[in-house]
Amino acid sequence: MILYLVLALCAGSSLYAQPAIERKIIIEHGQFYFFTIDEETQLATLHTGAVTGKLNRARSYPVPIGRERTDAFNPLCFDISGNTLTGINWILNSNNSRYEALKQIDLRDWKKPRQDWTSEDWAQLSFDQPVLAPNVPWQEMIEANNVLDNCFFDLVQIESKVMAICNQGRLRIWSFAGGKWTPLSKPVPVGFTTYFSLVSVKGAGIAVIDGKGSVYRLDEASGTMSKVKNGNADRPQVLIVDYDNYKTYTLPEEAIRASGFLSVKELIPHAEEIVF
Amino acid sequence: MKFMHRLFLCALLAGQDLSAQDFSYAVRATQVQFSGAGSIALREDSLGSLYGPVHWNNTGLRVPAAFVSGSRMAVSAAFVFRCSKAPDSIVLRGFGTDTIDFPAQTVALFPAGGVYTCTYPARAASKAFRAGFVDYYAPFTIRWELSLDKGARWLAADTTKHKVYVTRNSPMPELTAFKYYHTVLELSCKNAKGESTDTGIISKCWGEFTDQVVLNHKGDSLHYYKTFNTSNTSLPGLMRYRNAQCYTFAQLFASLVKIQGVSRTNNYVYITPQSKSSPCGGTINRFLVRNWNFGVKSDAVSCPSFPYRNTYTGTYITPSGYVFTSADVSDRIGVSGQCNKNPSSFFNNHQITKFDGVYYDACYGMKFSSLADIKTRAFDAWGVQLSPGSYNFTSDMSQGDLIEIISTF
Repeated sequence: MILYLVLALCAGSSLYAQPAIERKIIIEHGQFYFFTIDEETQLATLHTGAVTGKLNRARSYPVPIGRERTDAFNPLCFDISGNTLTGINWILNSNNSRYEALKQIDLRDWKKPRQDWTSEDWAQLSFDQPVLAPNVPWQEMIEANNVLDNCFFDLVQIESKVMAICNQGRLRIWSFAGGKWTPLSKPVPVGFTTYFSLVSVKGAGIAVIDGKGSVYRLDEASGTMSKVKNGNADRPQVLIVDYDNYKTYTLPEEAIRASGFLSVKELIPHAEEIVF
Repeated sequence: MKFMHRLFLCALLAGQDLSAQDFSYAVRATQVQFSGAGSIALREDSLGSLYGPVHWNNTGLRVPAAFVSGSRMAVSAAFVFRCSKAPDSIVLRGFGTDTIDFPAQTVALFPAGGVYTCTYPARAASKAFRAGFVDYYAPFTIRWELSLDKGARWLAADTTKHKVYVTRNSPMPELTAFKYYHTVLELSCKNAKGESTDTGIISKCWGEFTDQVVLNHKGDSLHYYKTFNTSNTSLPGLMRYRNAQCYTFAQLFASLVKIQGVSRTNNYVYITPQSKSSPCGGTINRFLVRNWNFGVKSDAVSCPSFPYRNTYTGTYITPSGYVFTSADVSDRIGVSGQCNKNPSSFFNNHQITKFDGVYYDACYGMKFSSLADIKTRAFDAWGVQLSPGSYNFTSDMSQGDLIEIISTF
């Protein structure tokens, strides 16, 4: 409950439920990073601190990125490498282009006190952030079928940028490197009715974790996916992606909230490691 | 509420000897509550909170009740009864609009500081709302009567008036943005009163948008871009702030239809320029809705196909309009939006609805037969960003096309 209050204070006031951790916590170079979203403004707040420090001591910064809230809920897609945030700005706004939604943002520009901009100003800033790449995976998907049904997607930074997108029960994974998009998989049938997350551990390839915690591994050679772990989670999960130790964990979000004072390092023993 | 005073001949009314004293009686309704298996839980607009169980009281509370057609409403009502020689019980009954009546029930009187209170317990009406039809009672009147002699003779007690909505079918289930808002019920039932078919309901609900004045249940305007930079993009935001983007009006129209139990998939259409490169590079990603004034062609030589250029620094969309550093094209009053003669008109995308093959743009109260029809009738230009801090435009609409991305609201 205290973490709820802390996150609310950090993220600003909201008409809606207290902000939740979006999709994952990243650990890199001894620091943790996670986002919360103000459901009314759709805007993101970055929370960061040392992995040995308490979560409720996180430093918080508004960042010009965000996501909409729809029935087919897809949390913020982001990855962090050094000072670079790679993410998908999926704010619903008449001036936000989905084709230009893939962004690359230098966090050094934002991890400092800002003037009091309005939420409308922040939204406009988000549209104009540097475009990482044209959203070809989205465009190709729309051209194949422009009717959205259980449309979910995620983006991660590995050696290249990898994006996975599914719609109408078909998922495809793409890689962006050298200025161009390359499909890593054929469109594969999936039964996702909630969002999935892309994960990768160095040397272990690319995998997808669905809402129940089932893990599907991509065989890049054949472009096919196979389920390597059955999951049965019945509560929303948060990933802990530890780039320092090349490990990925899942933990029920409510457990993270309830822990309040624990550090990320203290949370990991309570999490389930995804092994693949 | 007026206090109903009656001077009664208690002896006659109570069936006692004519030599008994005269008594004066006063009775007043203090609270009314509707219920029933077909009742719909309404939400107030501002925060989406559910209204409480009481629909009416004598200190001014007025909350509408809503039911599904074919169901029977039940009502309970509390009264204050004053008389100098009260019996142990009285009989109460109510006569409602359209002969939807509430049967006689004997109720005990309880002393309470010099008066007596009594409660007509929840009782289903004598008949159901007409099945399969939308209805709108403004008011639904209940004329209450009491009897002191077990129903031999009846006296006027009080009259209460209520707003009651009746939907044709059970509303579609609530979702993230689709909620049973007071204004949604008000606009839907008021407009579609008497309708029973899907097409009739859609047509009548659409009528709310064609005069470009949409008011909430309190009579406040719902503005399409009251401020140019509003970032309210969901129905809850429109209900609360009454100043919002296109998505919210599309959601509002779809909600007026869904609340009647009309089921349609693929009714929610997002339109945006086809991701096509301009001859000068970049991807066409903007359009201008009429009217814009086209002046100097700053890039007539460097980019003849998109010769008009506007430049900006920082945030150029302000509450009162666009602030460009330089502007070859400038906004003029053109297509009016809901409660707004000159809404924001420079976009990457727009949200409309589609029912049975027809595109409905609730923001402007306009219908279109195709995407091409939208481009032809409503747009002035395409835009492309060739460099940061600027947009180039062309009034040659053949340079681009719209695509639609369809989902279900």
